[in-house]
Amino acid sequence: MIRGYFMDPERRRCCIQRAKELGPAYERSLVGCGHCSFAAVMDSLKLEGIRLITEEAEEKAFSGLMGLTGGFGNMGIGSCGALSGAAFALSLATGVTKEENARDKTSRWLAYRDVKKYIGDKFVERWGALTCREIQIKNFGVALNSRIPERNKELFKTATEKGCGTPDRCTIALAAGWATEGVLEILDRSPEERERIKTELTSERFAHKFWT
Amino acid sequence: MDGKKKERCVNKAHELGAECVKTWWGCAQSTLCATMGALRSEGIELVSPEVEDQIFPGLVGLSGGCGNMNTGSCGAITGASFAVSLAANVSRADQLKDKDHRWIAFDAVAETIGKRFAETYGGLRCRDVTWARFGKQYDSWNPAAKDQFGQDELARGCVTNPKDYPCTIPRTAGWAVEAILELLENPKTLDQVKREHKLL
Repeated sequence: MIRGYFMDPERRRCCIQRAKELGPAYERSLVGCGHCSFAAVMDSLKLEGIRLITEEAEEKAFSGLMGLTGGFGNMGIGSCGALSGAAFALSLATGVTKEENARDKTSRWLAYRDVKKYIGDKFVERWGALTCREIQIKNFGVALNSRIPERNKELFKTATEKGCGTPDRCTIALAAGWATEGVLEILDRSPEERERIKTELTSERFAHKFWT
Repeated sequence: MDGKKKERCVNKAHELGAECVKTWWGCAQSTLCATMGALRSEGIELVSPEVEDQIFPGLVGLSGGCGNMNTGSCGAITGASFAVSLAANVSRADQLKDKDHRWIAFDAVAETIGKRFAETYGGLRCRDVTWARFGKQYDSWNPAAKDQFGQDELARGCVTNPKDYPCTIPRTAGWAVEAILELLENPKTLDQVKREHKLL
């Protein structure tokens, strides 16, 4: 993983835009918000020479994230898959390892902060929620149960009619774009800045015994 | 795997779940590692330890209802579903070949652990879980509320008494292990999901 990586503004803009375009393209070829948003972020970064994990680990993460699609197994009631796949990529960039987490439990707040700031808050701002069903209601005025075959077909039809599938409207595209922007900012951080943010996040909480 | 070994594997997930919480605290990464560790204790390796180490940082930020925002999926069901989906083993190449492969992973999650979790807690979100367990919902970004959450967990024996009061992480890891063992013995086929979801 590259730390203190700096990308000039034009390349950065292209990298974010490419992730937004790959999102709907992958939704057509690979179908499924969890793995497509993740793949869009990772592939756009790789084209700039940035690899967050090995190819083998990425392939496994793709399989693991697939089941988180559609609010978990297409149940609709869990987190939106686009959010989960993109947040996973962001959290990889934050890079809190097993060792760091074990040595200092507060370090995980860095990952919480990055996920909240770069994607969670943006979901709340745009859709007012994080779950698949609530996002569907905001986008379409109706939420459809994809576990029922007829409703699943209706969902794809509704999405097409509403103009989803474009980089500026598709949930997967937006999530991939926000996450890519966040990853690039996270990678810009120096180790000192990372520590400073962690201190800021945790200092006000130390007054509480069980806050961790 | 015979019934005795299965029971031993589930018990191991409970034991590791309690240990992982004390080591890392976060629900998503702790549940994934407890599940993987329990399976590994019976010789089942879904990913190598090196790959697990690389996946771990990705799950840290998904804890506490995604970025500790509480309104997304509980981290325990996230880590567990990730493990179950891994066991369903649909690769990018499979999915490119036939996009209906994804239903193998969806069903693996929805019909086992997703259904069980939702029935137990009334939903999948972090706040659904705390509402069912404590009759409360918290804002984990509010230090005083987070402190109260920690006190409520301790008062009920979470972390300190996982055997008599299985908290969400060990319990969900145990469910994930059960689901994965069943899945490895009776995997769904592409034809099966196509029929069941009327994709033909």
